[in-house]
Amino acid sequence: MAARQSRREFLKTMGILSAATAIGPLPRPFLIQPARTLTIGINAWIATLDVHPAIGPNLIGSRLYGLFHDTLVQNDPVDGSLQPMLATEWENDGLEWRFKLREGVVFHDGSVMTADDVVYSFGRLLDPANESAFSANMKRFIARVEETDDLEVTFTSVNTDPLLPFRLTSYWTSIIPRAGSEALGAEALMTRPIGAGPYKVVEFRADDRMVLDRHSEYWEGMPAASQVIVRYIPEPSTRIGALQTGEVDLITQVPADQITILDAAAGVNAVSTRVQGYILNLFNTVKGPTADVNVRRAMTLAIDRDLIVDELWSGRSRAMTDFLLPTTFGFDPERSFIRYDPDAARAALEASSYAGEPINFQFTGGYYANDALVSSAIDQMWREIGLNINLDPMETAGYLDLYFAGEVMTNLQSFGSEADAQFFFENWASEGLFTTYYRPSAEFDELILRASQSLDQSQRYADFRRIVEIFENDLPLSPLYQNVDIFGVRDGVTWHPRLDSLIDLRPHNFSL
Amino acid sequence: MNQFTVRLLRTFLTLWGVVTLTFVLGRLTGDPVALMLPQTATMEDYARLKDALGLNESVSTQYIIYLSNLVRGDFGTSLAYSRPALDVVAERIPATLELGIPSFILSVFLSIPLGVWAACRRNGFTDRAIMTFSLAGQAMPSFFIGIALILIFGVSLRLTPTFGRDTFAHLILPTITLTIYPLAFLIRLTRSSMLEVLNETYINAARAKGLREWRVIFVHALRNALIPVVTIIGLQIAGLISGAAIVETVFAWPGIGLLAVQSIGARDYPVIQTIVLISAIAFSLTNLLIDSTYILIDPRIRAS
Repeated sequence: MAARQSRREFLKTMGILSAATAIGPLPRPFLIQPARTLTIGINAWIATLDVHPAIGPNLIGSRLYGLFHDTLVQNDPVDGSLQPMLATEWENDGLEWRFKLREGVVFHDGSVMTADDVVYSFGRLLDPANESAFSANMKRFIARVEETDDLEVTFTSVNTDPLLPFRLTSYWTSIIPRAGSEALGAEALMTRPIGAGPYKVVEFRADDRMVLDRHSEYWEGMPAASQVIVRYIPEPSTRIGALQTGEVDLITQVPADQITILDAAAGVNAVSTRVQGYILNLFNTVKGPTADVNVRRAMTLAIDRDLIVDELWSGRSRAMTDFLLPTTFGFDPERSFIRYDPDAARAALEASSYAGEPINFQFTGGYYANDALVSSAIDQMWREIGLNINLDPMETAGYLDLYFAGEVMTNLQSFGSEADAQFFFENWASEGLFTTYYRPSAEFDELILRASQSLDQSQRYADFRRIVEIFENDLPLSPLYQNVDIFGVRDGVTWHPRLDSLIDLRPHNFSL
Repeated sequence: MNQFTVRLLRTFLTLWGVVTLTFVLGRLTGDPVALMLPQTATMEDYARLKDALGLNESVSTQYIIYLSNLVRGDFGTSLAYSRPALDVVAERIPATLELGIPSFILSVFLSIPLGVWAACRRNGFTDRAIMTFSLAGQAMPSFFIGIALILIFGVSLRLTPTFGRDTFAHLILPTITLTIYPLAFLIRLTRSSMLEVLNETYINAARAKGLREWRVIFVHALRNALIPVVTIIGLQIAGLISGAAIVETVFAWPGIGLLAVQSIGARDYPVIQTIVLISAIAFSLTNLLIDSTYILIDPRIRAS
């Protein structure tokens, strides 16, 4: 008897629970937000909002700093070419670059930008006490920055530098006001930066949110949202869920396999753009089985890049045809030489000294979008031509130790290919980043040095094409496909992603 | 030396062990310098930053510096936040407790009655239903439960928010997710402990005396059955402070668990060490408290 009663009670309870969950969508009082607020769900967080001493990794910085900061020069959102921003024009005379500043630019604290603010900002960046890697990088190129008029600054470069204006598009060269920043102090600037960007930070909570109000005196016009809230949501499923419920209006880093799900859902869709970087296999040309160029050639020819792009990226990426991207100065659209040819791959392997030794294929599992699937596909393609591959996904920090020690045989990594081939190739020169993986010829070093200091663009183009030929012979890497930045956006938000990853909410790019 | 002093000394020894182990294990996984550099950094940049962070010193020198700072109350400076590690950790404690305390209360106050109910209805429908829930609750990982709850109650039914720490409604899903495992575990523990006690002769004696069944169960059986349950509950209190890494990550809850995940990814040693040390202190003190309570309440332990 007692058991029967319990069962009845249990069923009654379950009935009440089922009824409660079957009520369906209720009004959403907790979702109501002030008019014209844009809420962004972002996949990673930044530790400090002070750009000048900030440390990497820098993708999240590229996304967010431009919400509240402007730089002297900016990249075109589609082709990456130079566009005016806080500087309206610039001219070069040997080591000197003169930048005319925009008139009437108002900072968040109400002060008007002068040349002194630019000198102050670069002073902070180039301060000998500043240990950030960005600072060290800039000190290699910029000797000094001086005020030559109220609205003119002159940069003196260390050597003749055709790329100096490009260097001034980076977020770590953001311009801040001297008086306001000095009054606030370095510690406060970490959470309450003052800039000249379209929105001003009013609240910053670590690992939680950043709230920004519209900067109504923004030089480009009135920004569309009265408030922007950036929320940190590390888990992709949660980010997508929050977009579907309307808790956020825009999300970053949508996994490629979720594109169709988002597009099928009501009121939201996926938008993507190809960015200034591509995924590649780096080869260790110094030791191990990949030291034989024929092995590297076989590995390069064995990969069906179009298949990866179509099947794993829904066609939104682009298979690499060159060591450079189409938007990079030095690219030749007439000549695509990176191709898929398994027979030629087998022939190259036949001609090599390879005798079946294991080749470790190391990469950071989960670091790049889709990396597990892509590396499995490549692993299979390499096995098909007869290579003995040891697929080895690793934890980021452990992988980086191996990488910096020059012990990686081949990997899967992303590398920036910005507006000029110099940015890409200089890393492969004798003193560059890849010195433990590739020993360039004297000719390569000479070409890089000449291109880095020449102002003759046709000569530079010819030099870059010669470098491409050298790379074609040496194959220190195998280009795979262009990086894709995928966002989820709610209907009613008009916004376009950019090739430099910035979430650009300036009036020309965003409306609600 | 009395027993309490011995236990206090043991606690300090444990804490020293934890500090040393965390320090050594952290260093064994490599250094954080590479993670802090942009892709265009050179070996020269790497060396300079490593030096600036004090990581060029030998591990033993770093250890001695760390310990001597620690005894002065200096937990080090966070590499990512450039602020005192203790401040970075301390400001996450309220968020972690906000999630942990309701979950703790729910799991304790639901598990004991459910465990007792299941034991009293052994092998009946109630027992099987409760034990099925308990088994499922222990078997399902919290990231699965969390995401499933988000999809059902957040996305499909629109009954609750999906992430973040804003209103009372934001507490619902993460609290449920965080409650399920300890609830399931404590139900099983209470049930088995009750079943053991219910077989004791003094229970038969109590029944033979003609006591009402509720009195037999709640006064004679439950009081004795609760001893192992209370020990586990004590450890759960200690666990409140260390946060729930997975639940906080799934629900974007800015507590210690989320900070721990990020700090491990970034190899922010001072923050990792501070989190582990604070958790270890909480565990050790709770253990000390439980042990001391035993000494006070159980004459057999005092005598031994």
